[in-house]
Amino acid sequence: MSMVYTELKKSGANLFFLDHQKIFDSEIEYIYNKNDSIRCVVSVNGIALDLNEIRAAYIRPYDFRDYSPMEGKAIDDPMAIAASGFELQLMTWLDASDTVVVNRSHPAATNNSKPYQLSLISKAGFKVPQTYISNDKDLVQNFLTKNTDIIYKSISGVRSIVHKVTDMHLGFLEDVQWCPTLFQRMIDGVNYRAHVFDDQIFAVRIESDSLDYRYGRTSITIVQAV
Amino acid sequence: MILVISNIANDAAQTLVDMFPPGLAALITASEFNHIFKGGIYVNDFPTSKITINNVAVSVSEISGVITTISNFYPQEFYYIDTDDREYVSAEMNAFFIYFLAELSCKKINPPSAKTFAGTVMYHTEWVKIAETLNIPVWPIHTINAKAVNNELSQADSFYSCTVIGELITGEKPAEEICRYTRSLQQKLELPYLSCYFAERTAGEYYLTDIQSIPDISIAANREAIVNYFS
Repeated sequence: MSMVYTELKKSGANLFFLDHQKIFDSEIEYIYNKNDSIRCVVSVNGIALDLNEIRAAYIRPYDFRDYSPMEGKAIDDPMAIAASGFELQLMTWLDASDTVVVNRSHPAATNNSKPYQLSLISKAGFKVPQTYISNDKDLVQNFLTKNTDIIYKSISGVRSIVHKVTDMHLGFLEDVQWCPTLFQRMIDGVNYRAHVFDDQIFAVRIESDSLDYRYGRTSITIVQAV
Repeated sequence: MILVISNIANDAAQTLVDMFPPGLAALITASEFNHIFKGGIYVNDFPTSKITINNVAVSVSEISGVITTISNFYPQEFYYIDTDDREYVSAEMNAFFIYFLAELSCKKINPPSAKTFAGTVMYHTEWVKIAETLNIPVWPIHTINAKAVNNELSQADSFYSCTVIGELITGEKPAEEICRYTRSLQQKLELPYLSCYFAERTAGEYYLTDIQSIPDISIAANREAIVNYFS
C-alpha cells in the first residue's frame, strides 16, 4: 500500500489516503433526499471527503479486529458495530458508483471460494487441476487411492497454506467429517503469476523450494506475458 | 429433492419442509450439517458428484430446488467445533456452499452470488439507483456508519410490504401501485423472490424504504407461495 501511495504522490495525483487503522476515528455519512440527491461523505480527524468527487479508488481491506483498540472487545461492541457499518457503507457506495474501483466487492468476493473461482476459471477456457471436496472419510480414502500426488488446502481464503497429502495424513481422514476439505492434484514445476490491470498484464516467474512458494525460499523474476 | 438452507433457530424452516410431500424436501443447517450432508464433490465434473442427505443417496441432478433463508453460516452455529476453530470452519463452509449452490442447475428462489447464499443482498446505496431508473419514489434516509441518525420513518402515515414469488403476490394484496413497483424491481433484479417495504406520506403516495431477497418464511402466505412455486 505504501508503494502505491508513493507512486501516486510521485505522479502528482490528487490523493486522499484513508488509513484503515484510523477506522475507529472515521465516520461515513450517507444522505438520500429526493431534492438533495445522494451524498456520501467520509470524515477522518476533521478532514472530509465527498465521495461524489472521487474518480478512482484503490482498496486494500484489512480486519479491524486485529487492531489494538479492539483488544478484549466483542464483535458486538459499539466500536466494532460502527467500524463494520463504516466498511459496509463505504463498500456499497463504491460498488454502486461510476468510479473506477480496484476492485469492486462482488468480483473480489470470488477470492473467498476457491471452487467457485475455479469453476469461473474453467468456464473461461483455462485448464484447472482435478479438484475434489468432501466431508466423507470413505469417499476421501477412495479418491486418494485412485489419485497420487495430491495436495490439500483451504476452500476459503482463510489459513490457505498448501500441503501435500502424505501417509501421515491418512490417520486423520476421520477429521474431514467436521469440515469439508479440498483436495487437488499437485502440479509440479515453475509457478507463473499474472496480474491484469485494465489492458496491461504483469507476469512473474516464481521458483521456490517450498510447495507453497509464499512460505519458502523463493526467487521471483519479471517475465514478458505472451 | 428440494433443499431448504436455514438455521436451527428458524422454526418456520422445518414447518416449510413439512409442507412438501414426505422426503421431497430437506433442511440443511450449519448446526446439523455433519449429520445431514455427506458428499464428495468433483469441481471439474460436478454432475458426477456423490452426496447423501439424511442418509439418502441423491445425485446433484436430482436436487430440483433451493430455498435459502440465510445469507451465510455464522461461526456460533458450529457448536460442535472447538471455539478457536469455529471461525475457520464457518469460512470453509460458506466457501463450499456458495460454490455448491451456484453449481446446482435447478430452480432457486434466490440464486446465490459470490458473496451470499441468498441472491442479490443489496443495500440502500445500491438499490436506490435501480429504483430511480424505474421511477419508484424512495423514502429519504440519513445514516452515519450505516446507522440511521434521524428517524425519518416517524413522519410516515403508514407502512406496507409486498412480496412477490414467481408471478404471485403473496397474502393480502396492497395498493396496485405498490404491486407494480415490486414487480418492476423483481424483474429488473431477476429474482424469483422479492419483498419490498413502503411508507406512505400522504394518501396514495408510496415511497420505497427497503428491499429484501431473503424470504420471510415466518409468514404462512409466503410459505404456501414458495411451495406452489416449486410444484
